[in-house]
Amino acid sequence: MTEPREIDRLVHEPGRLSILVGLAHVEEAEFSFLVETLGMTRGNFAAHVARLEEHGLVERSKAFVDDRPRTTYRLTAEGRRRLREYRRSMRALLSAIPG
Amino acid sequence: MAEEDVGKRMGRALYGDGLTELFAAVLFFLLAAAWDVGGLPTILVGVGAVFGVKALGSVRERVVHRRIGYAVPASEDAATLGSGMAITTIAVIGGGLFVAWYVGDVALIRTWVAAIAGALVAAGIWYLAGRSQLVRHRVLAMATILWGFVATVTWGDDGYSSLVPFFVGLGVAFGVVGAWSLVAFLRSHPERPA
Repeated sequence: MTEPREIDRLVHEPGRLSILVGLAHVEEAEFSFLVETLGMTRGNFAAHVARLEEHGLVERSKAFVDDRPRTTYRLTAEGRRRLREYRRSMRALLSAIPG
Repeated sequence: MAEEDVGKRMGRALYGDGLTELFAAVLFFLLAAAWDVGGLPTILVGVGAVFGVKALGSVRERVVHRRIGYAVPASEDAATLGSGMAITTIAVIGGGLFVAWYVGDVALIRTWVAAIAGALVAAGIWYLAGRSQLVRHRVLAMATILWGFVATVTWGDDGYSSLVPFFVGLGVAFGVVGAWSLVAFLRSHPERPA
């Protein structure tokens, strides 16, 4: 059985979890798309995604498209693995709640 | 924000523009033309679909991404998608053949071809609905099954020709839903300044 202290705290934080779940639905997505769709402020998103990038769960790329800068994000293989593991842990933990 | 809510938001943002329905409408009209003209090789529909996908990407880039930002939906694992399509096709066509064999009337397949096609198309739309989380896709899937039966009852005696009004009807329905969704999307998402 999963112990609460074993839950991945990097993934568990609501803002970061939203970003990871959102990125699981796309191959890649632009900064502004994610900010608006996830309903986060730009500052909040930037802070959380930087943390995820720092730990190798998300990767960022920059390009110019039609003379406009485009910053895109995608989940790394490690990010997918950690998200799957988090889901498994949470299911195990929640299933232990009686009633 | 719950995980399910994020899924719904992403699905709506990725598929809410109506372009997918408009693309499907064009394909349905091409299929109707292929069946109606007869001499028009169905392979042209396949070629049209390939070019259509490229055109869809280009339109999405110009119309959608400039409004809500760039995003590419996650692609399904090819093996999972392939096995799902194979199982659905075998189930629907196999079921139809079994019923025809059981009743002892192979011509029944010709009569019910629109209903069988409806079930196959609906399975594809239902799969899309699972990704998009859009109610209108589930409604379209159910309406497609119903329309398949209507086409069978109305034009079933014409055999395979019943596919022409069936696909025309689908084209009209998807065209209307797609156009309505696109207009709503454009109204609610003005183009961002450069």
